[in-house]
Amino acid sequence: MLETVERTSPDAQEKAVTLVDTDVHPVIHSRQDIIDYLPEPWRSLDYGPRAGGGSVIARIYDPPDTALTKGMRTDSFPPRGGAPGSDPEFAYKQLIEDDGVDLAILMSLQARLRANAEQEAAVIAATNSWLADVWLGEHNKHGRFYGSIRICPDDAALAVEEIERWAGDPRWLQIYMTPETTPAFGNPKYHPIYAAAEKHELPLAIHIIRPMGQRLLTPVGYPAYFHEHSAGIPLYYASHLASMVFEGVFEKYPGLRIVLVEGGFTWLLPLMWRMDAYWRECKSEVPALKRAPSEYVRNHVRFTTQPLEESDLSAFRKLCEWTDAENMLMFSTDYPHFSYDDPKWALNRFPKPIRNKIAAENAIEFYGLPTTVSAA
Amino acid sequence: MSTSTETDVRVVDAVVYPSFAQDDDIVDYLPEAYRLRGFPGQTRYYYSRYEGEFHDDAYREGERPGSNRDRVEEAIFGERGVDLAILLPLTRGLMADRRLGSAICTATNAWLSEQWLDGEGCRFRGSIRVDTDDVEGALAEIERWAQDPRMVQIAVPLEALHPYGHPAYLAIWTAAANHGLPVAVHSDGGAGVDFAPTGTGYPRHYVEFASLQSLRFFYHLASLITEGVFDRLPELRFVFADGGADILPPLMWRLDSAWRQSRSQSPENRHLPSSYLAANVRFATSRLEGPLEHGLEKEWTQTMESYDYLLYGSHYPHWSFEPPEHRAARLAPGKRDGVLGGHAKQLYRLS
Amino acid sequence: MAEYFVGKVDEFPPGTSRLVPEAGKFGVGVFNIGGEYYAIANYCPHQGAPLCVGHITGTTAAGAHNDVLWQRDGEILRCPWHSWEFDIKTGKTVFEPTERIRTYAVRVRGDDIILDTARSALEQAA
Repeated sequence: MLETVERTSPDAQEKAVTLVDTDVHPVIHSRQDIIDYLPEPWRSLDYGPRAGGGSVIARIYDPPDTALTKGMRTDSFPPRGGAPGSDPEFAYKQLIEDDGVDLAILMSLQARLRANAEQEAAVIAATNSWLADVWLGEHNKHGRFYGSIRICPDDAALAVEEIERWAGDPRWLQIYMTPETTPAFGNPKYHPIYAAAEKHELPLAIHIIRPMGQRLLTPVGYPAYFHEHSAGIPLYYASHLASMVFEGVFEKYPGLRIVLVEGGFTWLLPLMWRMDAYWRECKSEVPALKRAPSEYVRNHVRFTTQPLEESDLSAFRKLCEWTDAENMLMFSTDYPHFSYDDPKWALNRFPKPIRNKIAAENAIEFYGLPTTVSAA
Repeated sequence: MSTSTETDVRVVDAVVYPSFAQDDDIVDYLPEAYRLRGFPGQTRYYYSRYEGEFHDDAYREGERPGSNRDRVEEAIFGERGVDLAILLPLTRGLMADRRLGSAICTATNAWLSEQWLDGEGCRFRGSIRVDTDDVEGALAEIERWAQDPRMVQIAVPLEALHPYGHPAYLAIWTAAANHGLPVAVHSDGGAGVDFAPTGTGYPRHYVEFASLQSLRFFYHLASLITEGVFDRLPELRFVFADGGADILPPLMWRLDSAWRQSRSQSPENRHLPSSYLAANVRFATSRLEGPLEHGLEKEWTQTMESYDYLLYGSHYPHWSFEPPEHRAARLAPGKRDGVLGGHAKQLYRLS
Repeated sequence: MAEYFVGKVDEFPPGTSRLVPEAGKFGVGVFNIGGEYYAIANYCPHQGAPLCVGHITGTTAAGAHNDVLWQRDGEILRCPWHSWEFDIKTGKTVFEPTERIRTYAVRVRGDDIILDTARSALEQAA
């Protein structure tokens, strides 16, 4: 009787992981994909024969020519049909084969924001189940896709439940939530989420979504145009970040790790300067803080690279140096959105010595990823 | 102390906050129909620093900091070598009744003119407060003071119900541009019917509020640019008097980049967004922003170029007060003259 | 002289385009605008997107008062990625300071449309 020996086939080779994409957006083919996972009463309410439901993709602050592009790369529409990001095989081709991405971290923006947190959490949970079965299961034999457990931040108890449901499943690398809510993320109502994240040693990512029924995201009313709105997004992330810092979240949960996704990072240094300066002279108000705000940010927060501006290269590289981008950043494409960053272009923006860290090493260390994969 | 003539002007303090000794002292200057109205006091209602809202040296027993003209003159001009100072009185927040807001502005301007700008050789210059929500009232107030050489700019709150490029405000900016008056934007006192001070709601601590609040300028700036206000009014100048110049470069990179994608949505904005900064935008300095390390400040200056847009402001008697010598020490030698006074002289036509 | 046969005149009507993938470094897109042919490199100067698979459209301009006018219909190519607008005839972006892509000469020989990558559109016009 021959012993069963674990042996890779002679054709399979291992290659080193040199490119990790920390922001990829899969979508469903049709509502049916989610309906099957949705419990009552939401299945009937949300997806009953006459239920409205609205479209998933918001049309507020529309990217250029959205009627044609749907806000996506126009060359990312799958040849077999369906929306960009709905075909796992085509996504594999464009990302893994064409772009040379080795591992991709999926964040599903599928479930739109709702006024009712319980409803939103239910649809989010169904979406996580769909992602697990389809993108992390049936279509992940190659093992290149990893997932993010989406939660609804507005109901901490339900969020913790969802975290507990998936924690320990190695296909899920992190938790993630959308920030278009109030109060800001330092508020105690969110702390049970941070406790759960810390307990399970799962990073918590924050990623904008363009919500239906736009919540006011500025302090001075609504911008008019897409580019005007887009340019202000960093300040939105900055508000949540400052809140987490000054509310002492990182002091209270020293194991918590946060990833700010698609918010940019070139604004971080001036924000850290002012947070430190104000903290030094207003300390009595926040005795829970034992360290400078910038120290908390460096120790607990990471940023994904996309969207990189095509700014003056020399100024950008100096800013990277002063910000310690080498240790703070992880590469991302935002595939298949129109705002996608091409890996070759993006990584060439950085000084050569730090490219490998940003391209893969930081993500491998941060997420505990394998350092090799079977060659495609 | 000898008076300084215009030709001697080298150092200008672009941001000084005069205040009424008592909140109700303003009543004497209000139009009669408004003298029995209720409205907020001067101090910002919601957020105040526990260690003290004002600079240590500004406190005197029984006297509100910034209300005593002699004391302010001594603190600013004393031995510091400052030639002129621009007074930016705060009002009481965005009033629900916009004509009450205009009445408060009218009263503030009359008081400023009478109590602070009068006298031979006075080294103060003033700001014309207007209520952005009451266009007719604002235009009337601008006409009232535009020819008075002691008033060198319009002043409006940082708080607003629309970003400042919105057409609702265009008539006000047009009047400002026609009179050659810059528009200073600064967070207001009191308490108004405005939105939460951050996009994520109300910070629970002053320190969080304070470190974010000046950043609100960017929404106004992006709006003014993308709505084509500077294309329509190339002579218009905005001064963001809370500061924010340190975060300006990365945000403008992002606006430039996004504009290249969707500029067709706003064709009135004909040029690259960052190209308007040199002609149309200025910032006051703030002690609490910018590189903390002395060495990095000089490199940042050279790399980011936003120091061409800076006007030194002490913010006296606020706790963030910065004397001119402190600012001078932080500047690369080649930038000192401009920031400490050259840019203000040019902007306000002080020479 | 590097010549490529693009197609027959009667099979390449106004408002349409063809990609010649073997021409140039990244392929060349040939466009028929109102009966005239234009050719541009299939490479966006921004991040290297396959420019010529983008959609052909027009652009906007500010009119009197509050009007937004529609202009240059059929003359503008939007990059399939970040939607940069390119004037097909000149290879320059609509926005300024302009970015630009290489243009190439296209000539008609009998019924045949010929792409000449040795010459730019400017040279041909001269």
